Amino acid sequence: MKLPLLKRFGFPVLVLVLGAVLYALPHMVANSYELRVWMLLLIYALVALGLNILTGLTGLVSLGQAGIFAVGAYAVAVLSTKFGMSFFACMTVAIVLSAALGALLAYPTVRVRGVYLTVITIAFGIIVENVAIEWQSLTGGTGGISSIPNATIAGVKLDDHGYFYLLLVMFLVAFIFHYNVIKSRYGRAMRAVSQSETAARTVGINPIVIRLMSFVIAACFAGAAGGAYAYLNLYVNPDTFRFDDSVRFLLMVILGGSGTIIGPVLGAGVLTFIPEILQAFGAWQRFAYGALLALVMFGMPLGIVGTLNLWARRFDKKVNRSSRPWPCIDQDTHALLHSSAKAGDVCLSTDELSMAFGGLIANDRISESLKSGMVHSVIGPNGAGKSTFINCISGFYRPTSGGITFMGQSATGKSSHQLARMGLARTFQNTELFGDMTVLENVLVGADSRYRSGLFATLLRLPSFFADERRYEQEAIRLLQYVGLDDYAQEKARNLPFGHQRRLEIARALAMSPTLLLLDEPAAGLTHGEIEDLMKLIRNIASHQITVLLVEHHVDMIMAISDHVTVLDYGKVIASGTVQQVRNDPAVIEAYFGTGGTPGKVSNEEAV
Amino acid sequence: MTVPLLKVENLCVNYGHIEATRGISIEVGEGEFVGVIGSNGAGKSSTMKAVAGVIKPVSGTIQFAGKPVHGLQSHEMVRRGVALVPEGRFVFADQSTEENLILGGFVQAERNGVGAIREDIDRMYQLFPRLKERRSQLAGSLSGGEQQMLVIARGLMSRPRLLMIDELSLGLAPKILDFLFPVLVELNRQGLSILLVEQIATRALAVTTRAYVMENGHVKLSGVSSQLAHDPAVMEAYLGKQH
Repeated sequence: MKLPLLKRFGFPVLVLVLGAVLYALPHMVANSYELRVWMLLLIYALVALGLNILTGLTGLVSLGQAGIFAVGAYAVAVLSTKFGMSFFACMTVAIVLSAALGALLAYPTVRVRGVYLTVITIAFGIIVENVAIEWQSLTGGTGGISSIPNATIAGVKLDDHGYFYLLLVMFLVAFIFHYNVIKSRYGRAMRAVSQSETAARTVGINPIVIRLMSFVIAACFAGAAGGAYAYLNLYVNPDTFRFDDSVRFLLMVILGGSGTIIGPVLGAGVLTFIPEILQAFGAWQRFAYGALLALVMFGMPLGIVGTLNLWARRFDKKVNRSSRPWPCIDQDTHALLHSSAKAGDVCLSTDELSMAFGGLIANDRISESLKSGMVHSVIGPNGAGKSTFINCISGFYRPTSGGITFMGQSATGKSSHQLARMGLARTFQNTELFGDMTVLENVLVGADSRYRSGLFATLLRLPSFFADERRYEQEAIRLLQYVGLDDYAQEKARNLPFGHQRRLEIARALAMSPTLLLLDEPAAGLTHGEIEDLMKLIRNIASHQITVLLVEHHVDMIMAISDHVTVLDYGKVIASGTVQQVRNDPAVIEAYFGTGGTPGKVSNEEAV
Repeated sequence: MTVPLLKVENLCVNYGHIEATRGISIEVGEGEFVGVIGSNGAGKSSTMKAVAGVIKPVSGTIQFAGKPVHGLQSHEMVRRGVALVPEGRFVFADQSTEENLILGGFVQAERNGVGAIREDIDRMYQLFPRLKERRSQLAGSLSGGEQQMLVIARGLMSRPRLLMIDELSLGLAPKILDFLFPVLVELNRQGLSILLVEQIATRALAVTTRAYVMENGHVKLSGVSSQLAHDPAVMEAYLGKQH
């Protein structure tokens, strides 16, 4: 029982304790220098919190945050000295300008990832530093800008203590926003995009939007910190915004524990105070700093907080989780699975769909049509083009020629996340889950496109946020019950046995409330008994007017549950019709069934 | 009785909070073809991964050729003669078929020189003529069936004493299975010990001599495959009613 309590009140208590300790701080420090170090800490923590969203959640490593920090600081310096603008006006411009630069930095992610993206962020930092030195008329060159007025709020000029409390408020607001992003559908979407972009697309998440959002949030935090820095120092020059500083910001996040809630703050604290403490080492100060950093990271590879979390989990009780009987169908199932499609309408059709890879024609003028509420199977030998077909209609490949119509709208050339939002859900042959997220979170990510509360409601925790969270969490739990995995809800997805992962993928797909569900070999790796359960599940899904497109090798299953079967060989449709028509087709027997098993032996029991 | 090639006793493996195996004991004798069947979550893959050194067991012992090997890492297990064909295949997708095979022969090349590998590769091409046709094609562009052949061949390139296959039939058309199972039987006839995890229980029990039925992290049943195939409990759960 201690866990739900901690979950519910842990963060408010943390904020209160942190706020209370920091509130008392100015009365406890020895001198104004020490207070200044604490203020620097709060400012750096602000940058680190923003960077944590970018790096810890979305997985994008930026080594250019000092550049954005500089822009915030210079914006304040220039506006307050040359135009005499007020604190709030200066800070607003600093944040807006930084956000715009963040968006600019996000643009390369359209095509550049990983270390290559990091190089671009480094380049950005270099450019900002150079502009700060050379644009002398604006920035004062290497001499910088001095005599920045103290921050003044409501006519009161803030002294050291006053400014500390202002920074404290900024920090606490940022800390709460940071938490509110992490624990929300945006935080989940960010982690989803970093763990499997492919899977994120299939549930309707546009990775570009998520990366843009992460860059902009990180930039807002860094820009605000930069502005605050200018008001603390009352003087800015290019020396404070070098590549070294970008590295230090990233180290704060990684040392503290990237992706954790308190880690970046702790990292900022350690890296701000350690140099002060290590001054005792004199000339060897930097040696001691480096050695300490290396030792901590070696001993705690996930950062301080991340590793402590890991150690704490070792003491968790080991449990024997098991699958419940599935599918769990009851009177509520109808509310869970709803499709607006009418039985018999055409759900999806392809018109002369062709896909060529170089000289190899993987799909050759396929014209098929899927009726709503039907189980439509695609079979064929390995290499016949089944996966290509699925990838074409789900938007992962762009067909070489031909058209696709989905629910009466043209779907040709639409990308996978657009199709997902139109109601097309899919699973993968080798499963594409968000392995480091819990089973429940995986299903919640599936519902992402249905949330109505936006970023604003999420940051401020408006009632619409809680309404959405409650609604989709309840629905996710019921979907897990439906596929028999509710016992596993809090386990990481990658710890599930392979066959269970398939079911989780189906639950995640159903959370989108789709009209068409593409299942790519759902029976692979299942035992006979499990396949019977899977057949019941598929029949039940189809009975709610959700069309199922099934690619499968399990012949008995195909024959028992399909309303329509399409057979592919060498990219061409060699047969298409009812089970009866296809089963006796000599071309199909020759190409697919081989000598081992003719598909005639389906017992009556199974065909029910 | 002589010392079995592989002897696993009381093996326990955890994933996060989940106990995957809870005291599993199995044996594979020299030259035996042993099957493992059971539902998802029974602990089949975990047992194989623990033997191959891919994951570390929490407790229990693993002996290979009479020597304790639990806790050794997978590259060390390959040197001792254990090859694992993992579930879901894992080819080096951006290298050619032949390069994948050469990588499989890494240990052999160290011991017997690169010349020995050439012979082994030719042997693989005899076993799987399709791989010869695809020798210069990138492994990632092979069909599912071809990739499975490649992973088996790559495993064989280390000249293992024990070949472990996790889910041979995964995502493969019936026709490919008609080809693959006899290949395994032939390899076993030539003296290779094989441990096969397979969901299509009819096929698994038809080719193996002995088999284990796992459930919930335990070994529930074991015995001669042909007898298990007629065991009512096994038929009900794993073989389907039509048999």
